[in-house]
Amino acid sequence: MSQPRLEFDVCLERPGFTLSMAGQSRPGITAVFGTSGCGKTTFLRCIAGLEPNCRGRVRLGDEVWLDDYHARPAYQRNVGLVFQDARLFAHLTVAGNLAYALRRRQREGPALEEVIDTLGIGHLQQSLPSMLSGGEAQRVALARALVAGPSLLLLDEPLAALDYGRRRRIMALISEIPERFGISVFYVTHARQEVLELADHLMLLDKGRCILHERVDTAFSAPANWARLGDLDPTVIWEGCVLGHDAAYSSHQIDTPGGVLSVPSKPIAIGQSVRMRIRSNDVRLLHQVAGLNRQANMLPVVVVSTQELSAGMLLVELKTPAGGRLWSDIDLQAAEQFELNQGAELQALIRPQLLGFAAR
Amino acid sequence: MMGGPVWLSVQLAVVTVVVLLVLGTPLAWWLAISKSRWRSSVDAIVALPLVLPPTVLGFYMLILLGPEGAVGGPWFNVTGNTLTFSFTGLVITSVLYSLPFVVQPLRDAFRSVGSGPMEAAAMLGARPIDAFFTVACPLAARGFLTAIVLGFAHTLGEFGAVLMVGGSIPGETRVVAIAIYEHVEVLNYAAAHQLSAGLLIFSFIVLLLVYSVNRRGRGASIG
Repeated sequence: MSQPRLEFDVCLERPGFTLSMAGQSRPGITAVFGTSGCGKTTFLRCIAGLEPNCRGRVRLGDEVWLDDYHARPAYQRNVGLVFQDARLFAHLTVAGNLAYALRRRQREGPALEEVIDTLGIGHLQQSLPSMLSGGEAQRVALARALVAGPSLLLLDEPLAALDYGRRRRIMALISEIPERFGISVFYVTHARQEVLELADHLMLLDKGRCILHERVDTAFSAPANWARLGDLDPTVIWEGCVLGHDAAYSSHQIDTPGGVLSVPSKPIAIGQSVRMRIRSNDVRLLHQVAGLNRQANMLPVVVVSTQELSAGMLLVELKTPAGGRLWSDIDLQAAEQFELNQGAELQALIRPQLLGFAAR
Repeated sequence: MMGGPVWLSVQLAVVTVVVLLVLGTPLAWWLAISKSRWRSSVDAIVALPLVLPPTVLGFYMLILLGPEGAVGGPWFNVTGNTLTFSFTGLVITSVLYSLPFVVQPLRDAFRSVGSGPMEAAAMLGARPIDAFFTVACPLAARGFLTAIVLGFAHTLGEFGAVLMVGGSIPGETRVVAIAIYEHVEVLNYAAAHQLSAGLLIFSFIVLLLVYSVNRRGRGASIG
């Protein structure tokens, strides 16, 4: 299924705050990320049609939702919105909540059974919302939004109130939504880990403006973004493709921008794309020594530059033969063993960390 | 003879509550969600019967509904009947007199439902009027119960305003409270006892029912 594109150029003024955002949706999951009060929720509400004072333009595919002359009311926009507090109807059972959405569906949408099955809420059908745990309530809210057959799904920190284990389980379900139901997802969060694990694209908000809209791997790998993504350690995010599986070590060979790396994990299908994070302290530098045993995840690298990271620590920028960029931190004492001039050839021992839900 | 005033009071209370639900529900909703600068004024007007002596309300109603009044005059011209000293006049008076007892619980119930569920309903494709009847009203069910009971009981117990507007015409305006008063005036304490005790027991049972339903509802929502 194709995912219709959302184009927006919206403005909302409130005392002491102005939201002004323009852009367009991209396929998959876009994380709307930023500190509290930067306008993430307000942006979603503008798109959903819940902010009567929102001005500008919004269109989805060839449907105009907002322009100078008219604003399509929220109930005709066919947008799914899952609120932070679930907002299930307390007077209806879980089945009643789902039926409420199904009865008002305006176009084709996923089958009720498929949604119930995907989110694992079959056993809750006769429960009242007051009897559900936080995680169950959010799964039902997600199911209710999907059953309505939305052409765009907005998630407003749906997992903020849950503990880490539950959050991961629901995130794994959310990660399947764009492909399975053919809709783009905007996912508001202030948790960096959720962005890395879940999102394909990142919109970084600051004081009501979008200051970055990029692929997640590009955004997190650029040194210029580390500070504004919340004091990130020097990091690269590599997206790669599973080449093979080594059953003896439960590890997978993954073709990355830096070369082939091996990562332990539960079975992943060959050909599946995965994302990994390599922080500067996950990269150890070794000398080029003849006769050195080739280890897994050892890549030849070339020094590009060095700079001081903090007192006594040096940050080394490296390049792999395949053209991938890497960072390694090293203390000054250890650095004396190496000639870290530009162009020096070394070995890098890498411990990549697998992100996302492909293998979990 | 005894059934007369009791039956009349019940009829008056039922009609008044029905009229108040029809008129008071939209008014309460508006008071709950409106940001209009007129809201405070309307809130104050709705609350007036709480603080006014019933005779003041009765006096103004007598003037308004009388054959020379702004409402009673046209009514007389169209129907040939007067509104004062009639059942219809009593209904109009009772609606005003019991207005806060119906509108305020509804307003508070709607306010505590808040905009959240209404927004959630809109996101599922429900029009505002659809969401109002399928989400806001069911969620405010306890407010409706309180409003109905208070409106009913308060209309049953009304005396001053009814006496001013309706007098005491058997079968037309002679409601329980007035019948009791008249029994006492002619020292017929046995009859007064009968009506008073009946009203007392009835009121107690109704309130008991409301409180136990409310408590059970709350218990379930915790479990």
